[in-house]
Amino acid sequence: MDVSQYLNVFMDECQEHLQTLNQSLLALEQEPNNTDILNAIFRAAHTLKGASATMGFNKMSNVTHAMEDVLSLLRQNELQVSAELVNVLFEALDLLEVLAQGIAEGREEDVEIAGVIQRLQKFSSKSQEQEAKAETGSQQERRKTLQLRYLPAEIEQIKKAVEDGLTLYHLHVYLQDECLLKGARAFMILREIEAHGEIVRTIPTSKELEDERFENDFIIGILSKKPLENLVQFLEKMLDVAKVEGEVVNPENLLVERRGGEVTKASSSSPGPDQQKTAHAKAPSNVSPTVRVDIRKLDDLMNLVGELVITRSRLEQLSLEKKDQTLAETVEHLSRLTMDLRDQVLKTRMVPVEHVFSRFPRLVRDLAKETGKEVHLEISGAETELDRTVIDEIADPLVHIIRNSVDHGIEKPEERKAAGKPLPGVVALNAYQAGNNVIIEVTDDGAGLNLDKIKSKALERGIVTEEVLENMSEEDVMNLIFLPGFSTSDKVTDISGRGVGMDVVKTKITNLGGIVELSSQPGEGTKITIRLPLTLAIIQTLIVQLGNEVFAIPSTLIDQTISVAKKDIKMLRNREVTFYRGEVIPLIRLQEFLEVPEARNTAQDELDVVVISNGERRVGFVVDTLLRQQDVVIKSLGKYLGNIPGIAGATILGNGKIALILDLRSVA
Amino acid sequence: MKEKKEKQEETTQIIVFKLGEEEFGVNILQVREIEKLDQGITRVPKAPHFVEGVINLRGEIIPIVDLRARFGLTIPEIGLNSRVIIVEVGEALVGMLVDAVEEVLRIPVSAIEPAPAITKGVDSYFLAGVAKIGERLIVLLNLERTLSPEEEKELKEAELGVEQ
Repeated sequence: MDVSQYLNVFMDECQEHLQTLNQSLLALEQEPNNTDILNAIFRAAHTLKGASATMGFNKMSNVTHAMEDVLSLLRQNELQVSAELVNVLFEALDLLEVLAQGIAEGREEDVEIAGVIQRLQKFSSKSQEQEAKAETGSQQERRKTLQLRYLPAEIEQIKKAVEDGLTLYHLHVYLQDECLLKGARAFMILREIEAHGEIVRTIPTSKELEDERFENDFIIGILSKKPLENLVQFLEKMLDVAKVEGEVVNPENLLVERRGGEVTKASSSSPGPDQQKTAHAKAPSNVSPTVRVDIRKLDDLMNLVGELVITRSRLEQLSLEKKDQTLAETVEHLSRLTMDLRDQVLKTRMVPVEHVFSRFPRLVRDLAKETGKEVHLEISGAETELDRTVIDEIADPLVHIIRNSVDHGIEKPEERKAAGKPLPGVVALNAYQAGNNVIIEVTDDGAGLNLDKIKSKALERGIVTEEVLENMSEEDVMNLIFLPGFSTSDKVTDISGRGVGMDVVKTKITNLGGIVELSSQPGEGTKITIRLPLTLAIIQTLIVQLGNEVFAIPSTLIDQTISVAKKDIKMLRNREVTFYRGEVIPLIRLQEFLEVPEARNTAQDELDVVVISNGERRVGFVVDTLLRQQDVVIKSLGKYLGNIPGIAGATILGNGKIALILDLRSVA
Repeated sequence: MKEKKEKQEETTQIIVFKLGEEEFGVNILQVREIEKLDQGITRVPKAPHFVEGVINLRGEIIPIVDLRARFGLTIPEIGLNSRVIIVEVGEALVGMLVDAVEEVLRIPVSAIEPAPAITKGVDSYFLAGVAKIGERLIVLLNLERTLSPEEEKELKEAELGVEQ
């Protein structure tokens, strides 16, 4: 079967189930006896097993199968949740993630799965040993494991039958040990007894009995008019039957079987059918109707809406010229519809940050174990929404920040005790929307940044000179950690010392049009704030003019726009500079970089300057005129032109003309 | 049109355009559409020198290659007859700036001959062949080479006579 066309759907589902597994396993660790959680884990593993087997990914289906075996023992209470068991399940989950990655890259076969399966099987076989032991135990115990449970509807049926003069008997039939073809024998017994009454239920089920999936005994729940003695005698006369125990059962005391295998006692105050109804009604409410859409289709939709917005602007201009009241009203209406449409399309691309956040409890758990620290992760605002493309990009930087918080921030338990700080240490992850931005804060109550350590490290690495350091504010010193080649940890640890520093975090977030800020109090902790745009497709820009050309500068890059008098421009080493907030910043005539022939600013006395901040450096770019702020739809220049330094893309303005979007960081 | 079969019936359609006074042709199957230059071209700084800029084609940004600059011919002014032929090269859409578009011509494949080393000032590296139709000589372009953005490397290879 050619399954390639289903691969994307499978991968999507796979990710969802892996996420469920991750969350539920963490929850199970906290509440080992919660059957709801256990059921959720089981369902996810089971579905994954089915899906991967259908797709022919045998390794994944083998691993999930082994997980399922262990999980089903847990569900049947034949195995208890232990720390060791949870660790093995986590290990299996990690392996599944590797396998999923492997499948996506078409190299599932390379992944080694035997070790994990062996460890899982250790648990499932352990419990089988216990089961075997239990079998040699007293019959009293055996009876406990065989208990007839009824569906609520069946209980109703039984109650009615009892009112009609029938009696419910439980007949416990023991076959002789030497009996051959137990399945066939059990089937015969059931058929014979059926002549004497109506079988409601058996344990094991009649199917299991036929398939010989039972030990030596089974219970029949039967409604009959005949007295108990007759039935027992009838059965005992049959071939291969060793013993029959019979009892009359009061329908008020029946055990109820519900979906998920939970067992409760039926009582007259809460009749069976109602319970079943609620069980049925609950299930669909968890699932909101959704449609999977390829993100590229949404991109296309967004582009079309962008076109519509541009056409609308043209229409508005035309209607202004025509001065026709009806036309103006219609255009006004169209405008509103267009903006609503744009907002809706933007919303469809929004995904709650929970998608990313959900993996962090696991991360923190593992990190805490590795480092021997006690850390609690608090998450708030996980429902805050961000554009899908931003969500995908933000995960790695956040992982790095959280690693840092646990590894460098939170102190070891003994240090915390000595400092009189509470255990466990807390890493808080908070997200919220502020205007057109989403703010994500990572706060820890650890030791805070050690300024002296940063200083000496910066000197050692040759990032700054001693003179520069002396004149630096505390804030500037902290920001040194964002420079390439900086890592404050003395030892290279498995956690933070992967050669990836905060500079990578900063670059990535800046590339997303975001900002990273840092604040820290010695002994009280560190807070890292990430400010991100809601969407990447539409950005706020400042439109500037140079000669006869217009350009768009993303607002996130802009520190400030200032007006500089010609006399305030000084020459330093042959470059134009000026004072800005007490520091000397270089001025670059933008026309020189952009090769604009007819720029007018050389002749102006007052210059419009856009100050761009690139980390610690600030550079002023001289333009001719600042035109306006405008939200624009980013379009790529396409594969043909590829990456041109300093140009992030292009956008189409209201008049249909193209304006290039400048990425001045590479110039600054 | 790359295959040269001697069957008389076998023909191919080309779009004939002018650079200066010379006639050039491209296979019609590679042409998406032909546009006038109503909106003007937006210059892209730092782009290769033969890229005139970009235009807005119903919301899509299309790079425009000036074929004269590409072939090292004299650079003309954009005139009333100037057109952009939008062609598909690989997965990208590229516009070729030409002085005028003349006609669509059906020519027998047998009329196409390999191009001499230099034809009307254009290096044969860029050419797919030359079509002789009566008195006319139409130079057929190899679009993949003509529009490849990695000019320098390939041009050098062409000079050295390295065939790919």
